[in-house]
Amino acid sequence: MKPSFGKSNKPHSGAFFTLVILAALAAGVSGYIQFRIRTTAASIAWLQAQRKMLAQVTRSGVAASAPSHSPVGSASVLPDSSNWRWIPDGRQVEQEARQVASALGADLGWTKAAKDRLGLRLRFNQLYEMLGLSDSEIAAFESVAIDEKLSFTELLTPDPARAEDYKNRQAALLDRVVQETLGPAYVEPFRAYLLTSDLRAMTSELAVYSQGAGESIDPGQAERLLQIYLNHRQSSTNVARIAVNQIDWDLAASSAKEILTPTQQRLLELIIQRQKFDRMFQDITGLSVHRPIRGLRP
Amino acid sequence: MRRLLVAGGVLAALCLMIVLQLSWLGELTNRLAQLRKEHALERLPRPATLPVAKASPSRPLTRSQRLEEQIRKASKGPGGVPMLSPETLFKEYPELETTFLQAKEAQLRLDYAPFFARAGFSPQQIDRYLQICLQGERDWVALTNEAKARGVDLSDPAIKALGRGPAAERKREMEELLGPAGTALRDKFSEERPAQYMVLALAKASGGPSFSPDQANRLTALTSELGLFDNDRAMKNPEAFSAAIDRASEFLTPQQQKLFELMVEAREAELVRYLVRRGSR
Repeated sequence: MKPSFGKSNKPHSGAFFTLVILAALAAGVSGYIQFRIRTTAASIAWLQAQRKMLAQVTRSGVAASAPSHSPVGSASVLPDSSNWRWIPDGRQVEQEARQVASALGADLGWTKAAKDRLGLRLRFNQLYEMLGLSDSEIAAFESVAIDEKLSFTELLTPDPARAEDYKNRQAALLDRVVQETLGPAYVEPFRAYLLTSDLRAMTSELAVYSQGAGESIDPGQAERLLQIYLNHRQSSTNVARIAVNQIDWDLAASSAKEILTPTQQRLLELIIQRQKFDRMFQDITGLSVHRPIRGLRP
Repeated sequence: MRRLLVAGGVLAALCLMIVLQLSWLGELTNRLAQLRKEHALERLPRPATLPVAKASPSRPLTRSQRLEEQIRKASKGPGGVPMLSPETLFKEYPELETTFLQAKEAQLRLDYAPFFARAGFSPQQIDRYLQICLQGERDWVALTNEAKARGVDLSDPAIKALGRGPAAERKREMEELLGPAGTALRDKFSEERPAQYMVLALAKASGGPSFSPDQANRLTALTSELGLFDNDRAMKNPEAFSAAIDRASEFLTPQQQKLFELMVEAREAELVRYLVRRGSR
């Protein structure tokens, strides 16, 4: 008798093989789920260990030696907005939109809202991810923030008292919007994030240029770099957001050598060079540079 | 028949096990999400953990009478605050001009690194390229100051005529350095600059290089091809915005796509404002 391939002459053999294949598939699926359970459990264990460590560090009193900071303080320029020739300053847009709308009877409100939403997202996107906020939570926060005209645009005024007052009002507004839309538990994380958001933007910029140069910066390096920047903060003023100009960049660059490759160091120096001009301009005039160092003259 | 029953039994048992495992996994996933959220809240830098700040070395601000006058006369920006052009201060503060040119050079080195790499430039060629660019900045400063001294603006025909000679000279030097192929490469790179800034801003918003080099290149090429950052091209092709969103969804992750869509929406809004402003003139 010739062997038959693919067919069997025994009764129920087709059903049997189907069951065997299904069982094999089910075993595979079960194995994969088992794997996911193990990795999830491992992640939980790791996170619990991290939290335990963090709690120990906090208890050890490291935090106690630091100065107290005002819950409100400086507001700001969006970290990126100054680099965008097509995204003008918030109030300028509003003013222009109002003038043109009144001249033409047009409603340009949505254009301002689109610009504001992008500004908020560029500033807080990383925090949203860190906090694991859902799309609806983000939408609720941004929507109220836009309605309340929450702005992080820096007031380019030579009058420090006026600038400070503006910053304080905006920081207090952020607290209120976060509390109303996300709850009181989120006020402190937003405040803490805002405090270093400009410095984080610089770190991110270095990370992007470093990737372009083929020497990526890992998240651990980025966090250590942020800490180095903070260690070289010069101003003792209580602020809601640490301005980039408050850092002693020469000392920061020198300390950063310990954790950066030579290429990354060179890129950081180039970024710092740009910052030195902003600082000198501010020292001379008391104003912030309103036009970024970008592009070429015609 | 017996084999069939056994196989059926095994399958049923496996299915039951999968159901139980899924339920377990669901619980663990929820727990992990909760823990991540709590951990994120805890590990954020608290103001209280900041190091003690050093005494402020900022110079006490003493502005000369001339500077006060310049600030007073400067055009007013948002909130009625003065917008002072750095160029107008260079004569009085030469160290500011030096720092300005150094900052400009640094930014050009950062921005044009991919172009230098594509063009295969040697360090000497890079230096020469930057030298020509910075000469353009110096010429611009000289023209600005000349216009100011004459009490006219840069659109004044006499000022424009003054600028033509140096501009032609720089163009000749640049063409000599780049050659036709290099010039074409540079023009294409310059055309892509707004799109590259966009990718940079999107990446910074995610805390670093969130795009792979391939994604970044595709996004830059896509937005440049559709002319999203060119007012004239974009207003002739209003479909470009939705086309950009559709095509980007083919290679961006959902998270990246969300950010990109906000960026496109803001750019579209900017174009509308531009058109309304133009129409109102």
